[in-house]
Amino acid sequence: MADQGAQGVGFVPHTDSEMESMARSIGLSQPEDVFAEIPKHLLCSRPLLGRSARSQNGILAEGSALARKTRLDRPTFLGAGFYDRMVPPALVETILRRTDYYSAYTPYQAEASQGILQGLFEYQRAICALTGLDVANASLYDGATALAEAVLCLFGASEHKSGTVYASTAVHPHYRAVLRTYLSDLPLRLVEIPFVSGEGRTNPEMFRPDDRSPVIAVIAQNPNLFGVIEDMRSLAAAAHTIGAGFVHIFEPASLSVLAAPGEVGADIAVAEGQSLGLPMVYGGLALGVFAAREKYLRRLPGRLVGKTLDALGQEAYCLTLQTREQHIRREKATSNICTNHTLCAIYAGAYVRLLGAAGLRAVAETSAARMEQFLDGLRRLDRVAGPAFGSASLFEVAIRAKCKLDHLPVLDLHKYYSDLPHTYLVSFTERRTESDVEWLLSEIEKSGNR
Amino acid sequence: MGAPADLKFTKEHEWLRLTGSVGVVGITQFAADQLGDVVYVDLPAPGKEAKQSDVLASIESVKAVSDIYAPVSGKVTRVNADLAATPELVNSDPYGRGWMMEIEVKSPSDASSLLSPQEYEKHINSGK
Amino acid sequence: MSRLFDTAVSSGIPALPAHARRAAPLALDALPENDLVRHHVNLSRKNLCVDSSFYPLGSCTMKYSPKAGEAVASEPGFLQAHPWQPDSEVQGVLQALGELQQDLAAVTGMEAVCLYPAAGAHGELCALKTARQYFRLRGDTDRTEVLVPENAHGTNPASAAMSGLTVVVVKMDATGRVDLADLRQKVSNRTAVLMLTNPNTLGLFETCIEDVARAVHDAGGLLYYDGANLNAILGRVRPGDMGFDMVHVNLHKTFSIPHGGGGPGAGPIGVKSHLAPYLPGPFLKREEGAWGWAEADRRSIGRYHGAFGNFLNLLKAWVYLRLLGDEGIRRVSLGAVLNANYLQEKLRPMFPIPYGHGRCMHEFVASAIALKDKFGVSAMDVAKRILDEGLYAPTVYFPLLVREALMIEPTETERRETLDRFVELMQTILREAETNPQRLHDAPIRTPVRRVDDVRAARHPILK
Repeated sequence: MADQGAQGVGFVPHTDSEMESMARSIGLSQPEDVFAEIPKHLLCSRPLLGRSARSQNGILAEGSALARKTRLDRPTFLGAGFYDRMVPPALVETILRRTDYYSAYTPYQAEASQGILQGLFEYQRAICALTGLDVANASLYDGATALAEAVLCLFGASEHKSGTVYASTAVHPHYRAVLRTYLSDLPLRLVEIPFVSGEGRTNPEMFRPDDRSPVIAVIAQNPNLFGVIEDMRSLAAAAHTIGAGFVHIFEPASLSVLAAPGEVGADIAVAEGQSLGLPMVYGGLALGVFAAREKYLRRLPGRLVGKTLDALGQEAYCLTLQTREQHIRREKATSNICTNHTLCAIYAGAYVRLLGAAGLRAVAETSAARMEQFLDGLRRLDRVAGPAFGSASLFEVAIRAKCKLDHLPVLDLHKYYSDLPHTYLVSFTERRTESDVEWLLSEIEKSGNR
Repeated sequence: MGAPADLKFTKEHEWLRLTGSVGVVGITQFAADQLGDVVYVDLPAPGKEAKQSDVLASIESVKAVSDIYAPVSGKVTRVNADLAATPELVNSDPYGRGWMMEIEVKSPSDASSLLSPQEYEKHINSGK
Repeated sequence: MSRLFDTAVSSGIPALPAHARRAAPLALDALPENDLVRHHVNLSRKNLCVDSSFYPLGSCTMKYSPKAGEAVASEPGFLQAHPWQPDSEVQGVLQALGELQQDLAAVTGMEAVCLYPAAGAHGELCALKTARQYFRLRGDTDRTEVLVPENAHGTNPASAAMSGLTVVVVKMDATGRVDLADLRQKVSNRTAVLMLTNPNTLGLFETCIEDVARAVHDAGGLLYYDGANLNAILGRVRPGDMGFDMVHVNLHKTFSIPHGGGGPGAGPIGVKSHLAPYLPGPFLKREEGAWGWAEADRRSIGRYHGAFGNFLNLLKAWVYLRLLGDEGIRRVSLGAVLNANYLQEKLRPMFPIPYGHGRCMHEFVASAIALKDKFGVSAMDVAKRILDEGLYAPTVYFPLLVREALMIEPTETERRETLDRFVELMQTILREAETNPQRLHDAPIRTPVRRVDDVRAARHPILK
């Protein structure tokens, strides 16, 4: 491709002689003269990458070789925010790999973007149904940054100039870390409330008024990082008693079974949406889910799609309530977010429609059944390992082992919690089979025999 | 244009109708036309106090937001609840049903710094 | 639903405590798979996209996304990698990230790169927080202002506010560039950062960039390069060589990853070495041939993403830079700027270009003000009319410095014939403005819906 006068280099379709002819037609003696206004000494002519163009054939082989280095020869029981869920081929083909979706831009020109707009609208509707809340935005980056935006939303809606934010330590450590980063330059203080030792749950009575500043937000996660099911109603009530908003971090697939954020009294609910059937991609195809009560509508971060009519009175969709956003309100915007995760959101909305309530319940039930099978089997191995906490869980459980298990595909919690040695989080999805679970049990048994 | 004779104006295009110590506040036809179709008016809660020139409310079109400043110091006693469902009243009847809020004016003498209809007319014709 | 997986019934779920159970059953009917596929295939056809149409959307760099990126991103070893897998099990993932870091550092003239930011605005906030931490740990705590030129993207002031900084607006001069006199007046020992694109949002190269840099550095402030317009100078001028201390790059612009209908994108940042320790952690390291994550020390601003950034997109950018090589990156900027200048000269007889006295860079801003004054036809009318020809429209009403703005960025991946056809279309539209302006007010008439009533949408929000 590179031998016709540089045509195709850099995916630029012009040949050298075409470029020269274009330059002459606008009064330049050579193409490079378009850079004439740049001070000469700023131009660098030396090679920056230190390599020349590779062929497509070469890069496919190189990419393949790198991909093959990922270890995929055994089932994974890793979870904690990212789950190995069944990725429906129908959605991969018609959404993720469909160029009419992925190569389009933000739907600012509504008439030429109705598909994206309607897809986002259907996503917003699905999230409202799942969460039992009034409004959902058209997505944010990921679960952790969605949490930070939730706190900023509550802060902006409050009358206070400074405040305190409470988060249970049973909330995912990365979420708390990202939140701490976001709050570090703002007049907001993050206070971590320790979970109940031995039980792995959060005690509502720990959320008391702060003598230093008004409490803006109380944050809890359900099921929490240890897989434990929290008493979200009591936690929400405790938050409201001290005048704080309640932020509910949820796991989307669990909401077919567990109380919805809207039912327990949450003000804002956020989630990592990858578990709505998206591939894991090293955590790099994330989806920030954000839903809230109506009263926060005008403080919501990010884009919103609304249903309206066109000039002929036909149903149509467009981006709406944009005065909240940075391109209009600039430094007074509710957030700086511009690009969101549209493609993932359309996918997630379609996933919910493909499965429906029954399918989502089957995901939760099947994942839970695998966990039960595992816990049954673990009883035989009580000399090696057992549940770390007594509390109920759904499809993720922390276990305490008498030996190291970090050679197995489970999450070592000790690196996040210094008081939880030999504690591992084991996660189950509908993709795991009975024999996968048997394999894990036998590996744990072998570890105990070492 | 025909700004009503009984009103006083700010350079920022608010109007004030003062009756004793009660002032009614809105925005001018000129401002409403400039903004285009009004889609939302963010009004303060009754009881809010403001000094002259403080931001008291904001008004939005699809693509712009404008702050509304207190033309005089005082306390908000009532807001126009109709604007929540029909913000277009600000475009169609800015000096009447498109009023925004009622203020209990602290010192009516504040109003002396405001523009007369003729002065306001001149101000908008000067292109500011 | 056809069975997606082998189902099992959990006996544990009925035993859940009452407070934990969902009260109102989830009211969501499943759609059969074939109907869902049709629904989305039909929806997707209601969009214009880069793979269907010329997309001259200014400031968005809607270039062709090479399909090799999609192919590599479909490898099971990437799709099925779990973010908490030990480093030893994801060496290929980490190698791609590490090599992308090196490439981005090389083309921006920076010394350390952080890949976590998920979008340009996310990168801006990340860099401002990094700058604040740098100043804080030096005890230089009075720097609370961010200088932003008046024609900057809205994300700049919004990111400044989110990092607790106050925005100070710097004026533009008559040529459409930063007003140096105004800058010198506003820069002070309170200045933390100046945020700037170069070329700027008018498509003009800031020729006095070194004077700008000197003014900010002399006052002890830092320079931030908003990479929105990097495509114009890729492989030719490096932000680092112009004096910038920090930069973000939009991988969904210059580095060709698809826009996804509005995202996900990716907005990595690069910094000079004096700022490197303050970047978010963990840091990617290579020791004895093995890649791995190393925890940052206390100087770091901390974690910035739930996992490690938008890996899928980072991978596509890695592919793109390997496909380009050194000759490719220079060809990109040459093609982008030549195409923009070609289009600017062809449109100049038809539309005033208020700041277009000289050469533009990768984009330019024309004005439809004459149409507005003479025929009552707005820039939005022109944009909507363009949609009727199956093309996407230029960016309208930005930057605000130009009235009735039409911001046009052809990118390098368009042929001369495509540009010529666009010019012909604009001639047609001009004639219509004169002879049949109603056609323009009515536009679009060939799109799936007619002009959408956004006023109604905002007055009476229906959001679900």
